[in-house]
Amino acid sequence: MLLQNIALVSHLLPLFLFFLFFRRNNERDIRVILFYCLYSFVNDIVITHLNTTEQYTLTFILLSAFTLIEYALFSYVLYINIKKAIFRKLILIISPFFIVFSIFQFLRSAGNGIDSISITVEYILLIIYCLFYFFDELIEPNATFIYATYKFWILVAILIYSTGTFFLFLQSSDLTPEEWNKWSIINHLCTIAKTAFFSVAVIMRKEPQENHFFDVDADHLFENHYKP
Amino acid sequence: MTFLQVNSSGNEVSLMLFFGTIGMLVLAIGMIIFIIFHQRKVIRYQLRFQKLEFQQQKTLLNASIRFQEEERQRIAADLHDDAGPLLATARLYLNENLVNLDKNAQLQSIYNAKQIIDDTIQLIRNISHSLMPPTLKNFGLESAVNDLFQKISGSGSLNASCRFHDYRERLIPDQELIIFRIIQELINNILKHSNSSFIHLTQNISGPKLYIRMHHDGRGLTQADFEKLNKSGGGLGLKNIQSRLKLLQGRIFFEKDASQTYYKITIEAPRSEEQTLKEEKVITY
Repeated sequence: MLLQNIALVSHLLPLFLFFLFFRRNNERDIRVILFYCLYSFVNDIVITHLNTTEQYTLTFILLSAFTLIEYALFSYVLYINIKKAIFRKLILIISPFFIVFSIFQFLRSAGNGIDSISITVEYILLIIYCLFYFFDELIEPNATFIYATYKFWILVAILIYSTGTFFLFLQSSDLTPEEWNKWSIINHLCTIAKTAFFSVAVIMRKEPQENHFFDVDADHLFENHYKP
Repeated sequence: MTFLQVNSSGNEVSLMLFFGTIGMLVLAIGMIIFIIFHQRKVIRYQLRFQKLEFQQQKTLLNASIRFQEEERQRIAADLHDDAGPLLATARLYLNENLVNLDKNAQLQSIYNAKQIIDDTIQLIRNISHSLMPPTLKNFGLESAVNDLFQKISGSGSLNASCRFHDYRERLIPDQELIIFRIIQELINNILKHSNSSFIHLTQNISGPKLYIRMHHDGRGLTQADFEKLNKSGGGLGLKNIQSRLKLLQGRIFFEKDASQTYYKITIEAPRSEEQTLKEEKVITY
């Protein structure tokens, strides 16, 4: 219960840090992540309340909506950070299929527990998109270290959360409520890790300092040396 | 999607969940660490490469400064050792003219002074020509190279010939001067080190590039030798060629002929877009 509460409150940490550091990183993807954190926080509170009042159908609707919105927000963040056009196109092509599939699953499941298949597919897609980003970085490395950019920490948060909770949501339909309560510790830990990484991204500066190798522009010095 | 779901006993599910989660996390963290280390390696390599390039530029810059200083010293020596004494002698003759009242002696000393002043004029002209050949300035690279080769042939030490196949449009004066200096430097090297019996130069163009090739039958350099000498402390002339080529945005290639009899040096220099366009128009008409 304590871990669950920590995980719930941890959603507010990136928002708190964002305002604490005077909104020094106000990029689009950061704003999306902050919205996601706020949405997760509100969603978790509402779902906890609905669970205690045993309104399972509404919980299911909220969870299904959360899956869709989470996918939309994360895939948008990944989309704007991936450089290769082919990968961006793939995201654009796959996303409508996933939305249709998710709605279909929602209608088919008709209010039974967690829509584990949609969540599993969502996480597979997000892991693939993260691989796209890292592949991009491998073939076209930047002059700055990858971990010196806030984007990297957003991606790490998404990847760690998706991989960490992948098996939990995959098996969720096979777990008894006791087992679910027991194993949901994985979800809480991954949520804390995710918000911690988001917090790192939020407190990082927009543009990391470049590695200046030369003190002077040698080319410029050399340029007119022989001009008669 | 049913393959994703496992229908088995609770214990088996728990085991699968536990090891599956651990496995996925290990894979994800492993991948992140691999990417971080790979990128660090790539950046370190790039930095090392930049450092080497910077050192190379520094060497070239030093070489060009040294070359310029040597050139200044040579001009200073020419003026001091040759022009100075000549003018001093002319002054002496003119002084003598003031003292000596004998008309014949006066005429003789004026004549001598005139001769000396003529020599001095010639000397200063030579110095000026060595700084900027008038043929190059007025008639272009082709004429300047022809002149140079005629002078070398005229000395009788070796046979020098050149042929410009396509030089209807002159390069811009700065480019011509740089190429001419490179040719001069190469010829100096050939005369000094190669012990060859002939030098032959040909010129041609191909699209936006101008090519100059020199053949000689003496001891020569290959590209590997050139690069090695360029990186070493010596080879001031070669470094000078390299820095001039950098300025020109051109390239040079040293090689041995397939027959292993001659050495070839090929210079590639870019032509301005204007020249290329003019050339294309002429071909179209």
